[in-house]
Order: sequence, then structure tokens, then C-alpha cells
Amino acid sequence: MLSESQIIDGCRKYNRRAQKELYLKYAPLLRGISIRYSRNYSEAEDILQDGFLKIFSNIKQYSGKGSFEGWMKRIVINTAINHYNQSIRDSHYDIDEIKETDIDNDETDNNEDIRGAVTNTEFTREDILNVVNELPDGYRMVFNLYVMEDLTHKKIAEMLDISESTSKSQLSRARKIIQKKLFDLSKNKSRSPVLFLITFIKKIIG
Amino acid sequence: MSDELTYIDNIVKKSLEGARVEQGVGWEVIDKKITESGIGTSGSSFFSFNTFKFNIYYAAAVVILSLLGISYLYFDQDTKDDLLRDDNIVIPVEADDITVDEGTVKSETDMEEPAVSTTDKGVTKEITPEESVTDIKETPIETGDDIQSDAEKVQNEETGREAEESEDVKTEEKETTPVNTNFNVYDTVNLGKKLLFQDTAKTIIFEER
Repeated sequence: MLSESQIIDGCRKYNRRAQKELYLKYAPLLRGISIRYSRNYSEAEDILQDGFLKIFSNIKQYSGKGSFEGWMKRIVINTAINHYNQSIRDSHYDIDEIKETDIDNDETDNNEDIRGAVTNTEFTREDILNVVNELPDGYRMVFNLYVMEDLTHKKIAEMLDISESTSKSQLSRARKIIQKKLFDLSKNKSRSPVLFLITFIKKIIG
Repeated sequence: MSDELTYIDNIVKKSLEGARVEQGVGWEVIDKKITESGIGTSGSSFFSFNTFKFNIYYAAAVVILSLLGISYLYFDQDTKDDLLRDDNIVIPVEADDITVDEGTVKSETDMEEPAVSTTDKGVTKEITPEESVTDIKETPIETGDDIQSDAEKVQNEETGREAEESEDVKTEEKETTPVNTNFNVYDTVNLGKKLLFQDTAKTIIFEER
């Protein structure tokens, strides 16, 4: 088992064994990132593989200062952004063309009830990941960059070649969609027999 | 509204941050892509980094050698001579380019005469470099007295006449063997053989013992 410095040195010399060690060590973590930026697992694997090829070919540019893991994460995220930009060019789909009607926004629901239902429900990682993956591509990109990577709207606007206001509006819409989906998911979960029984007992006692 | 939904951010971030997904393609797929792209030591692509770097060096060496070759054409003769002398370079010379002055003195080795051995009986023979003195076989030659006595014996036995009475001595050989009928008299003398007589214009008979 090679240490991280040995792996980095070996990868700088294009040593195949060191490259394999690097892949086995960091692929699960970087796959988790690429999945957040993708529609599905297949697209996530493409992003991950392209990201590793960039890591191997550009590892000499890593100065050694700062986190190596952070450096690799940025490469994978940039690869995901490149995939997104490429898909926009191929489909001639513009993030600004997404209209409000695309959002299934049920204004009749009480916000407090929704928030209470969502926060009181235990969601699995798969549940959350599926909700994020189902976001429109542009929304998903902005949401991930803002929430998960802590980037500013200005930086996001530069990376995605959009305006700051667009970034803000996309983030807001993404949140609404996620909230709505999680609320629906919480309602489905509460309809399970066990949860229904627990809720029924609580009402009787209360 | 946006601030009210920040709890969504917290839920998502708490759930997905640092998530590790183990299931996915194995190293073999990445390994194959690395090989195809030429990244890595086992990559054999012509345009892989290492190979490409070697090709650059190779091309540079070819260019430098070409420039040296071209510049050599423009050297003056003295420079060329210096280069050749220093490097012990031998340029093959065409046979047509060789001119020999007449009257060139031969070296001592060229003027040496062939070695000759002399036997007791006056036989001489050239010694070739391959032969040693001991290898030379003597070829005894009859002296004039011996030949003469033999001739007298032959004449007495077969004709019964005295040799002094006849000017044209006719003698039959006991055993004669014609030897190279193209010899002339001068040749036979040089060969050290005794010429007995010549019965025809072209036939020379030697006595063989």
C-alpha cells in the first residue's frame, strides 16, 4: 500500500501501479461527487472517467500546496461542468429558457406544513440523491455549486456562463422543487402501515 | 421565500456531503482508457507523452546531424583535411585517381631476388617462399662422361659397329620418353637435360635413366 506522497510521485512518472492505487483510493469519493452533478449513474461514470484521465495527465500541475483531495474534486467538478456545457451546445438548451411552468409549484400547500413534514421525515441518502438528480440540468448545477461547493453566485455565473441573477433564480427554483419532492416523499412514507399506525396512536393519545 | 428554504440546503448537504459510492466501473475500464489516451508507462501510443518526448529528441538529433552534414560541404579543403586527420577517417580513393610517376624506385623488398639453392651436382632450383631448403629434392643429372659411356654401350650392343667409324650415330634407346616436343634446344639446355640427338625437326629425344 503506497502512501499519498508515493502515489502522487508515481503518478507524476505515469506509473501504472500508482495510478491504480490512486483510482482505488479516491474513486468512491469522486464518484459520489460526479453523481450529484449527473442525471444518472451512466453519466456520472463518464464524468468520473474523464476526470481521472485529467487528473493523471495534469498531476504535474499539482504544486503540493493545499489538499490533494480538494484538487481532484475541483477537476471532477470542472469536468462535470464541461459535460453540462457540452450538452447545452448539443441540445441547444438554454438554462434561461426554463420557465416557471416547469416547476410544479402547488401554492395551495401551507409552507409551514411542508417544512414540518420534510424536516420530521428521515430521508435516506438515496432519496436525497434521486431528488437532486431529477432536477433540471441547470438547476442541479447551480444548486450543487452553491450549496455543496459553497461558491458565490458571481463565481457560478462565470463558470456556467450565465448572469448572477440567473444563478440566483435557478437556485431558488431548485430549492422549491426539492422541497416539493421531499414533501411528496414524506407523505408517501407516512402512508406506510407502520407510520400510519404510529400517527393514529398519537392522535388518540393527543 | 429563499431564506425560508435554506433548511433544504442543510438537509441535502448533510445527506450528500462526503458521500462515497463504491459501486461503479472497475479499474480495468480506466486502465484501458489510459492506454488508449497514451497516459502511463504501459501506454504504447505513438503520441503518448514519453514516446512523443523521445520523438522530439530523435528529430532534433536528425536535424543537428543534417546541419553538420550540410555545413561540411562548405568547409575549405584544409578544414576537411584537419577533420579527417583528427578523426582518422579514411576516404576510399578511386583507382582512376591514382597516378604513378615513371621511374619510381622500388623498395628493397621489391628488388629482392628469389632465393636459390645449389646442390652438390650443380642443380639449381628456385626456392619458393612456401618451400624450405629441406623440401627441395635433388634431381641428379648425368655428367657428360656418364652419358657418353652409355651411348657407347647402346651402340655396341645393338649395332655392333664402332662409334668412331660412323658420323651419323644411330642409336636406339633402351627406354626413351618424349618430353614436351615443343621445346627448342635452348630450352632443353636450360632444363639441365642432356640432348642426345634430334631425329626429326620437332622431336627431341632425351635419355632417361
